[in-house]
Amino acid sequence: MTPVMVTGAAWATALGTGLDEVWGHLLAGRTGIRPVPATHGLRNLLAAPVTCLDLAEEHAQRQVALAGTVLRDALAHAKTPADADPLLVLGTSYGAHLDDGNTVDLQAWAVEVAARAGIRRPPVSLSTACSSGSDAVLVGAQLIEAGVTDVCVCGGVDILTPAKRLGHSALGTMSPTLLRAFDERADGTLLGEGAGFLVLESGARARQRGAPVLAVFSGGGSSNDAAGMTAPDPTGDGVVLAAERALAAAGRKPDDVAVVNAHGSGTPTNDAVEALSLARLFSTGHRPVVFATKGAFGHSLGATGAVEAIAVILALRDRRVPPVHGLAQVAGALPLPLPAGGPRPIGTGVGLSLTLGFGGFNTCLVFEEAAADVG
Amino acid sequence: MWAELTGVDVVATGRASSTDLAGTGRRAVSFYADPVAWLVVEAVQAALASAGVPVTDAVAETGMLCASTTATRHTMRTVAAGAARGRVSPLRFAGANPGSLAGLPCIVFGLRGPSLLLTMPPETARPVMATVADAWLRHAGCRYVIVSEHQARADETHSVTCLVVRRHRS
Repeated sequence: MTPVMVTGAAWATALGTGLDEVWGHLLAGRTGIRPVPATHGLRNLLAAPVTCLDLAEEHAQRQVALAGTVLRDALAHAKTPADADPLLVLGTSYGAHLDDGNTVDLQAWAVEVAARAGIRRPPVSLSTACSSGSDAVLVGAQLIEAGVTDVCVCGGVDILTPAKRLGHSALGTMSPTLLRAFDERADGTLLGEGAGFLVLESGARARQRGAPVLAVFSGGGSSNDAAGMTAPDPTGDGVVLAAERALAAAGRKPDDVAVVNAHGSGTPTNDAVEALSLARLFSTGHRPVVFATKGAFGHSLGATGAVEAIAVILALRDRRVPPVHGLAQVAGALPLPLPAGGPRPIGTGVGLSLTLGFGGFNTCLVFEEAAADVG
Repeated sequence: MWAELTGVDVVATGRASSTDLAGTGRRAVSFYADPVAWLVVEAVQAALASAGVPVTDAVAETGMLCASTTATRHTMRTVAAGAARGRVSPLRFAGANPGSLAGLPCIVFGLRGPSLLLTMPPETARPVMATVADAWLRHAGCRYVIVSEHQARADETHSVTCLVVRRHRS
């Protein structure tokens, strides 16, 4: 596909807001996971709320406020002109809907976000569980490539709510201890919340206005596991398909990959499938660095794909990745280098952001350094 | 509008409707999906049967695209009521996933192409679906894309229409 420029980005996480502030915390190995009180019994009270909003606010308003704040930050970061009128592409998994028995329209929150931000065009909204943020980026790029628009602001947003905590507790996907992705002791995930937005522009538009270019989005691909409502395909076929499609769309090969941000949810099932998939994808002996951020951010569900895409962009910018929080001894199946205890440098090449969602949604995004396309 | 798109053929259509969501769907002890997701499965099944499309020979190359503004609201309400009492069924929690409107047909028919739910009114979503389907047919290795639209009326009549599209064979 035709490369698209990433001209702005912003996030809100359990480690704060501000690209470099949060990136610094990640590199220092910090986590935003902390005890969060709950009314009803859970497997674990640990969770990762964002620092910029009060948890006591009403759920639907929290979702809209979180989206609006980060959306504005992303547009400001891109130095988007006031008359730009970008197309908004928003993804979430459950958002606030699972806690509100009166939910009528799953797009209403996105319409409200657009209206508050002064965006005149109707928003594009989508849901693919934990791949929602990634799919928002991919759909935005497809709309730009097709000439529907030349600028999109694409994001994933999801909030921490009692129903989600109860649901993951009941499912047994919530860790009773800590989130330790790819570690021998991994026993589940811990929920977080957050928002990530990327401003995407056509190359022509970005050059014309002299936009700051953070990275190039060079392609994406997705697949469905066709396996189960929650369980992934244990063969890894679906994950490999998504990554191969993304690389093909970007005109790249596995040997071109320098770094992978893995989904790394910390559930033994997910980690095992992802490790197997990455081992298959990089079976030629090429060894890109793999990292994961959920031990720091918690699993922010529908936001995670957009948040992790930003982490990949910053890793490409700095040519290093933060340590995987909670990782001490890598579980057997992953033959690729993972940073534990401190940051790790990466080689030259492209970055992959991989997300896996309930319902079999696998999405892979390919990013390249800005210098690769913009002089 | 699909027939007007350059280079895309509509090769099959299907439809399903229900006036009783509580009675729609399939029952299994260890598996639950929202009735609207089952309605999408029914419409896809009708489309695949209608024209003898060899999608079953191309499951790895078939994508699933849906549009609905209410999606799994039926199950979400059940989960919301339970959550207020501190109890959430894990099966209902998983089945409340709005994306399951696109995901369940993939599970049932073994589709491994891209899958996506647009939480938008079908009439607004249509141009977006056309762009995404075209991208999937061009860049995502898809031979077919199944496009489904779900409408819920105020009287709780639910209907799903479904098209199977592919690149035009010149």
